[in-house]
Amino acid sequence: MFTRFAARRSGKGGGAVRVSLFITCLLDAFYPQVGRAAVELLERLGVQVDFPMAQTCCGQPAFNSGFHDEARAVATTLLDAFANSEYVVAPSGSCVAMIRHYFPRLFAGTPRAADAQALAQRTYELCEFIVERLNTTDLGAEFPARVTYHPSCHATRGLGIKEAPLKLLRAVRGLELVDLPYAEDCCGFGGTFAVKFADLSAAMGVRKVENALSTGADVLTGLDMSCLMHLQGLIGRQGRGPRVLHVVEILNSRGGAA
Amino acid sequence: MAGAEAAVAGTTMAHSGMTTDAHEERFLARLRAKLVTSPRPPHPGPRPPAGRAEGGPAGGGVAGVPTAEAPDPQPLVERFARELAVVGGRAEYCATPEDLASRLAAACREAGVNTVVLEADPRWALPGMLPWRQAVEEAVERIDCELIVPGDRGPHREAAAQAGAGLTIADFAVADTGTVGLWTGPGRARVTSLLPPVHLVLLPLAALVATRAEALRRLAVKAEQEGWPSQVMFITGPSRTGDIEGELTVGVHGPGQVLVFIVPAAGGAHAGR
Amino acid sequence: METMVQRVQRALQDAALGRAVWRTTDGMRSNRRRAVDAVDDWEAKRERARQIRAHTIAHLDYYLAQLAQRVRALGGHVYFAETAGDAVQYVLEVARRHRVRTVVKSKSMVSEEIELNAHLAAHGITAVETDLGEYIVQLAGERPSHLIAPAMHKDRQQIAALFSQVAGEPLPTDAATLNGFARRTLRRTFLEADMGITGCNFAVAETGTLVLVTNEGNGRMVTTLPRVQVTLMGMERVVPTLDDLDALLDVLARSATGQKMSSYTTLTHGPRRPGEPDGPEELHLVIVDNGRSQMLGTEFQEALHCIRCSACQNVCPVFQHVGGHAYGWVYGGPIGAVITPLLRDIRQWGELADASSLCGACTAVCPVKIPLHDLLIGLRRESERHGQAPRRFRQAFGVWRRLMSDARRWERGLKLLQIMQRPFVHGGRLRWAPPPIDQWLAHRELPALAPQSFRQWWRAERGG
Repeated sequence: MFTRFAARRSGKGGGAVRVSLFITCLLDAFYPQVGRAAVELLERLGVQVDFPMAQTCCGQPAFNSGFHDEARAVATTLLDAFANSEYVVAPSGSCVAMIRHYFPRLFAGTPRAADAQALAQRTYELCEFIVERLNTTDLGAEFPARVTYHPSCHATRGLGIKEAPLKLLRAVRGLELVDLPYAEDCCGFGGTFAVKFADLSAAMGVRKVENALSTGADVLTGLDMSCLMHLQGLIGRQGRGPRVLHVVEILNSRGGAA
Repeated sequence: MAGAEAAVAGTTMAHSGMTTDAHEERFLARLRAKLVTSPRPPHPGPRPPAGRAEGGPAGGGVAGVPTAEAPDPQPLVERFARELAVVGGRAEYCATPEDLASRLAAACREAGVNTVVLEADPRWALPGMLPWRQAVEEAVERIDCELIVPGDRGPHREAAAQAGAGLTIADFAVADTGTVGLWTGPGRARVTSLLPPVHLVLLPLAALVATRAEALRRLAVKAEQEGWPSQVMFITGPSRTGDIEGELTVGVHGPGQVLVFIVPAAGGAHAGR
Repeated sequence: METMVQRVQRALQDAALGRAVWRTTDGMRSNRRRAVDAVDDWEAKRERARQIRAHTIAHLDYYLAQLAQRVRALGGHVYFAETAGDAVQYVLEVARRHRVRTVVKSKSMVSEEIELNAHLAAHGITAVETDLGEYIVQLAGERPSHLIAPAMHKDRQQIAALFSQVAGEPLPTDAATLNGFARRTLRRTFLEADMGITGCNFAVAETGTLVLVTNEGNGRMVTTLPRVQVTLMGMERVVPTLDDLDALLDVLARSATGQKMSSYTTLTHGPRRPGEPDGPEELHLVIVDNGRSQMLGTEFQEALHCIRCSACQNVCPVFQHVGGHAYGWVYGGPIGAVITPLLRDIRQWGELADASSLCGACTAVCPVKIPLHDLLIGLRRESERHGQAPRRFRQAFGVWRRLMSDARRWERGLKLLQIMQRPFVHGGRLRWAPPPIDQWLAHRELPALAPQSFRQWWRAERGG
């Protein structure tokens, strides 16, 4: 079955599609299992995955807080790491939005401006890549549970990714997808906002958790671990709420609890 | 792109000893100096007039919907009535003066109106309007109601403030939004459609257009010919507010009821051509 | 002065406020959504509106000059007020000349900026707000808390209490009675006032038209009954042509309240004409800068495209939680967070730009496509350049930069942190974090660093 996938998806020169994984600093340090699931998933689809070690972070935390020189210094590691990559794929809407929308601006007028522009054009969020580049929605996944999906701000408004994750989730065997009320409302993470305006950030997150609870879902998922970390943290503190998983962990499930 | 035009001296108010022109020039020069480094995007250009069907009537509104001057105004009338109903007003079509008399009488009776104030609108004197004027007087008499026509400035405000209803002839109306349009002029008071709790409108069919853009075009033509009236009022349904807990209440400062009677008349409406 | 953080905290503790603000904003954004969905070509309308505003502001000097000439040709007076003080002085001078004792006002946010009512009062002139919401906040001694629903933060009990004081007897709390009371009370004031002061939604340069978009009818009252009219206009409100006005009206009411048109859109051309039975004898247009020109020629110039619809406020999750007063001045929500530091002093007000999760909902609904959340990032950058970033964040990002600008340093640092965190890890969670991250722990659990990072795994398993 999988050789069929591999044969359909050929890259330049007729070989398999080659993807460089952008792990993002958050997943690297806190949620490596999401990265491992992403690699497994892509390889099962016949994609060749490499991981350029020179990458660190897209610079978004500093950029959003106004520290643009610092952001540029760190974001440069990505320009170097992915210089030769055909596709760069990350399991993160916010990091991809940073690269696509803000790298050109951040590096405008610098010697790396062209590199930044080029990287922006070949960087994808994982679900978007699978559905639009690999033309696949059925990953052979199985995850029997009621699941509700939180469409993070960067993915939906930033990158216009609305249907891809839903298509992928709907094809998962046993998965019951239920709509999240006020789905497009921000979860309240917001980067340094989460600590600078902690009470407000928490209030926004609590509202999102209440909406998730109202669906009766077993699992709350999304494609931004930053949002999910914040929501999972609130659920953990208040002692009630659905289990929180990155969408890639669900898509990589072969049945039974992930 | 021409630079700032010289301002016409209109006031002698001075600011720290400078003449008006110098003061204004300094203000504008300051803006100009800051804008000099900005990109100066061009104007997007005029919008294509919507719905100009081939060989169809000029000044048309939405494609396929003729203006009231074209053969079938029915869709336009229906749309106007529908849109007005959405915002809490009411429109009725009166095919004959007798029709107007009975509908107007019924409406006033229902609204409990005792006095109706009418403007000394010069259009009442147009030959085509006489039967409609008579119908109004007939209606008012039928329900034992008083008709007041203020002569000049003073009595307008008091009359309107005490009247149960004010009756105006619409200058234009917009089907898309259920809007009635009035402008000021000799004998025509703003308060007639503002102070009484009920606003009665006689809408000559020729005044009904499809879109607001079309109405504005007609306005511009009138202004070119006669100069601008001091105020043009686009009235879309009754006065409303949601300021108390978001609860909609109708009739806050302006009229709480807007009742429109559409009649097959020209009413001196501007053709806009 | 209170900080934004303090005002936000105070607002979060006010449950009644939270309920009132949610009710208003949720309702308004739903109405907007419905109205926008009913239009086939909404994006095209937005784009046209954006182009008109961009062109206009880029040629502001030209269009203001044209506007002034047309208004004067119609018999109106035009005054260009560079500062708040200039505007106030001009209005006081007009009032003095006409021996004005009572003023009726329809909504003007510019008048809030220049604190006009207080200055009039200091000169013995009573200014009565006539927009119902503005009337309510005036009675309460407060500023408006929303661009178009000024008293949305109040519930009917609070409003009834305010009206009861005026009435001299307790009034019931139903909206019909309260509205009726306001209508009767203000009707008297309308009829007796010497001067009317209005704001200005748009001013059309080619025709000298002053446009008021209202729903209650008070805008009509204020421009009809008193013998003198003064219109205060933020200088960015100018519009080139009548057709441009139509394009902007197309997006304004839908974005604000979900209506196709407001109940009253009035176009005023100078004072009453000879032969007209009513209308003001004298009309003054005061074109106000008050700091707006500071945005011209900068990346923030787009903020002047705003047509004050309030759509951004109604979708902003921050605004939805705390309302407008938390922003500390006249303008709240995303537009308030952008223009307040720019109209005033970024060193004192830049903090407003921090009160945002940058969710982008504002940008998505703005009828003239102002990239509000991007402008907030720009403001944060400007604040940082002015040395306004809090020291803790500056230090943290200094450390972060050193750590993250080299992958080997990052890997070594991560390894060190994995070891250092051990005493603080319990059940997979971190029980302590250094400031400013300690603020996270006030409300949320914080996961511990994974014992093996992704790159450590890759190195071990894939020989990276």
